Amino acid sequence: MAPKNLKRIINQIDDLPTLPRTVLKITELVNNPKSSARDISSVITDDQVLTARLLKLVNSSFYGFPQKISTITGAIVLLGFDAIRNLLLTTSVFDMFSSRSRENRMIQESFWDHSLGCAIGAKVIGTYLRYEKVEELFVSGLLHDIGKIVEMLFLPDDFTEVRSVVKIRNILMITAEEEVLGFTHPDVGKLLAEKWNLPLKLVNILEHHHQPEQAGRFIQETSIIHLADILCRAIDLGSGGDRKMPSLNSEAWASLKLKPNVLEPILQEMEREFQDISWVVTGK
Amino acid sequence: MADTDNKIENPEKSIALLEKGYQAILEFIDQMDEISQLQDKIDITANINQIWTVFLHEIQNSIKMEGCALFLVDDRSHEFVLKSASPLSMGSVCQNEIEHQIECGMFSWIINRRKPALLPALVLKNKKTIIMLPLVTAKHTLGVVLIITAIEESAITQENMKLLAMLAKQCSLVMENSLLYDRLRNDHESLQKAQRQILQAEKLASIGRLTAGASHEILNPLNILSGYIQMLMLQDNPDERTARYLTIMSEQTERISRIVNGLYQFSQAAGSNKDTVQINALIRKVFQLFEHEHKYDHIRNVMELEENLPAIQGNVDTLTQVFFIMLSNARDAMPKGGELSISTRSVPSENTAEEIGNWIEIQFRDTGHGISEAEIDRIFDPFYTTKASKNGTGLGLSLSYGIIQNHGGTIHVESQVNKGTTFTIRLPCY
Repeated sequence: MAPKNLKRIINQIDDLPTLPRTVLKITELVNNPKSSARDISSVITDDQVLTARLLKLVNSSFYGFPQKISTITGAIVLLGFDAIRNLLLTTSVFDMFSSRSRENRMIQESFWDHSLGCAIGAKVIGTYLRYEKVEELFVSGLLHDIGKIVEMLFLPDDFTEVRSVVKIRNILMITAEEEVLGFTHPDVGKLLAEKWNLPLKLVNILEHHHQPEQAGRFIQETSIIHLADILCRAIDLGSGGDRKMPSLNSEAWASLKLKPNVLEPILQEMEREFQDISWVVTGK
Repeated sequence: MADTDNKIENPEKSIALLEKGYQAILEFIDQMDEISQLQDKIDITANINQIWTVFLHEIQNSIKMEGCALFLVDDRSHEFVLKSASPLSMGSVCQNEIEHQIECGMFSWIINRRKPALLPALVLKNKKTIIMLPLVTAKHTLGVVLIITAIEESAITQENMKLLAMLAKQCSLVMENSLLYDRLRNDHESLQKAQRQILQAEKLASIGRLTAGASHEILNPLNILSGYIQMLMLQDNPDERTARYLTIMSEQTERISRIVNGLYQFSQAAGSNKDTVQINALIRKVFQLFEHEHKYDHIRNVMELEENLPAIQGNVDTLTQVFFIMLSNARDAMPKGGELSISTRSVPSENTAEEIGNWIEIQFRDTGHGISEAEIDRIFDPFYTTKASKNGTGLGLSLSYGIIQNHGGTIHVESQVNKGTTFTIRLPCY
């Protein structure tokens, strides 16, 4: 570890991507048990773009809802307060992936596809495990590699070096990061999640998605992301910036209690949902 | 737009807001605590209704509502069935609402999502809000609770939903426990019953083997005895006393032979050949045997025989014997008069896992003196009789038991002292 380098990131922390104010406000409201559906919907509807995106997502095949939901209040009371917060996070995260420079566009797009694939994978696995908060898994999957984006945007030179090390030696990005930067994208992801005041669970998932056994009481959730990360590499959904497969952590696998024969249907479901949803989130 | 604005803008206001939020969270934790202790209030042996009463009370405490209904998934049909409604008058409205929600797909969507949700009402008007609480555990869907409230949709708070979600979860766990416990108890009881039946069958079988041999050994000397008695009776001019003694002797040897014959039949009950038997016709025939006997005039007979019953494969002679025993037992139980009803009907198989074929159920119901609890366990035992008259050999019911078992059927008795007794015979139709 070279804390000096990580400090450089921390020094730049005020420049780190910010969440829209609306999302911060909603997070605050969701933290108060007395908030009503009206309180939350009035904040969301102030932002028309967000409102439109949210309704689009709610009415997408992601939820397979039998009827059209036309109001934000309707969406909140049907899906629940936490779900809405996570959905907002989902819609906002996309902006952070959108390109600032032409040269990075390709890699950013493949990062995005990888993140979306992982998010969908997490949701599909979560559904198999009958996990209660699939939206939370979805947003965790979407954010799991956000540290890489931060590196790309704020440490462009170092990032280029990491990339070339990865390419030449065909190693995992996280290994190269350790060598070149002295810190890794999970470290950066954790910093960002803390700055955004994200729930402790999300912070832990981002920090430990390469070593789920260290995630303590969040081992199940972290293991889901860990597995989803590997699965979407297996079916080639986007790219995490390297061409090597992280090895499946045996403790993580054991904690999920999944049978190997469910992997095939999970992969098929992931591919199908990826086609269905990518246009909804990106708005393309 | 700098997102630092709201931090500096009005610190006092922010602190006040935070303080308020903090208080709200503390209050919420208190409520959670209370809910988490709910389970202690309910004993594992509590039935669903008792559990529901406790939870209904808690739901009423956590949200202002106008009505509430519990639907549970029926074991056999896998449909949601209305179990309870409060107030009761709400039942049909809730049922109607649920049916519409099922039709439009909302219902299954929410059940699959396994989380409480608010629904736009389809049937209920006047701005009512409907909250659906799925009752689910990791493995089972137990049912759903429907709550009707006048609180406007947008005024529902996170606290409302979270508390209801927790209640629903607790309720599901407790209900599942109770259902599992019930199932275990039923399994245990049926095992015990099976064990009793095996014991009974073994007892009968060993007695059967014994009597087959013994009755033969007894009948031989008895025939010799009865032959000499006949010879003595044929002698000319016996004095009156001798004649009386001989008559008694003849009667008693006949009685011995009747008992021994009964024993012999009992041991032969197994292995009889089978024919197609129309149960209703057979019952009518046996019934006619009794009709001319005026000593039963004080008993009212009711026959409810279901038409078009399927035929069964059985032995006419032994079944006739069983029905005869049933009828005479019932009549003997009503010396002061009463009502004897005989009914037949076709019923589904008791064990759905096995052959689905129909069974025939035959009931003999009397309003006689009944059988005490102490006696009822022994009535199918051979030689057990309560009849003081010389007619009781104590073999009738154990004989019937063996015959019915031989037909692959079952025979049950239910009785209440001074109210009456019901014998239920079920026979498979294959």
